[in-house]
Amino acid sequence: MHLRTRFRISTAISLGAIVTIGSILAWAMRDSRRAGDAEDLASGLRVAIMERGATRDEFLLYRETRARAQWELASARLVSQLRNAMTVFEGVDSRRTIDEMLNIVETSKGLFEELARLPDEREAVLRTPSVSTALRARLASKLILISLDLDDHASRLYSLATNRSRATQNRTMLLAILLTGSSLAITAANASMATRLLARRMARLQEGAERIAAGDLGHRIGFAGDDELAGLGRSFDAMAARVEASYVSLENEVAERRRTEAQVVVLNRDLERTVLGLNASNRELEAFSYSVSHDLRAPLRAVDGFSRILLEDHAPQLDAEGKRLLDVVRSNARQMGKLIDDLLSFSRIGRQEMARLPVDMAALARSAFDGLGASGDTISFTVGPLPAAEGDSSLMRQVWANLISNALKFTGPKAERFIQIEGRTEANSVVYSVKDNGVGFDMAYSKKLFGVFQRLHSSAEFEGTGVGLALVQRIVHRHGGKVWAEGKVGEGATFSFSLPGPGGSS
Amino acid sequence: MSAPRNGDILIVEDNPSDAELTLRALHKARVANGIHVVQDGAEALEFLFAKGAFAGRAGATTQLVLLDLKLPKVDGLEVLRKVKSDPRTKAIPVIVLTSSREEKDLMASYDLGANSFIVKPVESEKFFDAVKEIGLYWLLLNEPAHG
Repeated sequence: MHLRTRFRISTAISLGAIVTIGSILAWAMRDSRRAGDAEDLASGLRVAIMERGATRDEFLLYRETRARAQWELASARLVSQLRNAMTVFEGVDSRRTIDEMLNIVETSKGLFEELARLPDEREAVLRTPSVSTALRARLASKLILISLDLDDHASRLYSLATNRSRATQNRTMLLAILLTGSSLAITAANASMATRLLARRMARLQEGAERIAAGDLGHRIGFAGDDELAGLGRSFDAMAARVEASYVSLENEVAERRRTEAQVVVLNRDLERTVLGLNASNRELEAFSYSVSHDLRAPLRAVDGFSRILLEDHAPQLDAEGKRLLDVVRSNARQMGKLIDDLLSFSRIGRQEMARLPVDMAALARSAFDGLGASGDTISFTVGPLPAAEGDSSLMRQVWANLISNALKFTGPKAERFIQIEGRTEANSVVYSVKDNGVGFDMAYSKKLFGVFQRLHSSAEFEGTGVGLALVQRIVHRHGGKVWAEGKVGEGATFSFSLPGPGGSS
Repeated sequence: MSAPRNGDILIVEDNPSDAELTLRALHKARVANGIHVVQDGAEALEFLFAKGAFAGRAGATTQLVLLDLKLPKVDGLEVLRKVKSDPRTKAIPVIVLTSSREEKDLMASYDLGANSFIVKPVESEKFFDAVKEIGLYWLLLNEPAHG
């Protein structure tokens, strides 16, 4: 039961008791007023009876007509009073008494009539003294006797009224005490039950809170019932369940994180091992390229050197064809030397440390052009405004040098040559392009442009090792960018590359 | 050419072809000094410090050393270190003449006191020119320290 309901019931009981006691008191007051009225009436009756008795006696003594009239008036008044009393008195006893009194009054009236009809005593004495005197005396005593009887009845009526009034008072008192007592008892019992329940629930709530605070998250209050504290207990349990659930999920998460960390440690160890292995193979590669650069170049130098000695010292013994063949040998040796150099720088770019700093691309492009020694040629070289890039300036210089030297090489046959360098900023990148009006290329082969040793032209047309653009691609890829080319045979080519915008990651 | 300039030239080169080309280039540059060729670092040190097979050279001067780096037995950098750390030989100009283009070889050579670092070109014209210039500079123009 809700505590509020309990308290409401207590209040209602108290209020009910008060109202009941009030109405009982009101009823008792009415009752006691009526009892008082009855008392008054009874004593009024006694007075009326007494007065009537006085007029009777006066009549008996003096036989005056006035007295008789007064007695009749008193009798009529008494009858009317008795009739009135009949409506006031309620008890059977009282009514019967009043009935008897009315009868007595009627009887006394009869006796009085009879007595009045007798001749005057004084006359009677003169005529028939013995008979009438005796009759009169008998009638008079009878009348007096029943009058006494009447008085007795009135007394009885009075005492009945008094008793009733007292009984009413007693009953009222008793009822009031009983009602007050029982309402007090019920309220007290109710309050004590509520208090006990409250205390018990509070204790269990406190105990539960303490146990959960101490870490026993599985603890529940488990209240049954529909009172407010039971509701509070259930909310408390729900809260504890959620706390427990989130604690468990947190613990799982922590465990998961620990597992992940352990995995990361293992992965890191693997990675370290891999890095060690990579470093080792890097060292091997370096040793390899060292010996390549040293040992492969020496025989080439010998081939070229001795061919030259042959040409210089033994020219007379050689005919024109012999000299041409020796020249072929020498040019091939030199070509191979260049290939080795290019390959070495190509592999070195994959290994060497890379700076990542702001680079003035326009200045680099101009300096690369100047470094190629073509500034004296009749060529229109323009550099548009270029966005700054982030990267390794020496590698970027190589990119420009390779692209510009390519453009120079392939514009060679044209009478009017131009090389245009442009740049633009895009959402996440900066894009640069080198445009020329050289011999161009067929877009069908554009994919082959950036492969190592891939060439679209014969060595007879344009010299080269086929490493230059591969180098460009490798440098740009290492910077996190892209390279591409567009061209049309006979009309020129545009080589472009993008780099991540400043601040962007590669 | 005056007497002090007629010391020996030592070529330390394990590749006979390179050695011959170098010799020829020096001859073409009309270098008149005595030229010796040794094939490994150990021999080079014996020559310079007049030991072993070269004990008879005691008192003879060496005017220039052309040193390859990749050598059998004792490598070029070790020869360089020994020559430049010994008071008797540290004044001798040492030209590192190598096929290596590696940056670290260049740095190491200069660190140890090499007087020049020349990468042997594959093209014979360039090679001959380089050797000729070495001869001109180090034998004729450069004034060596006495001692």
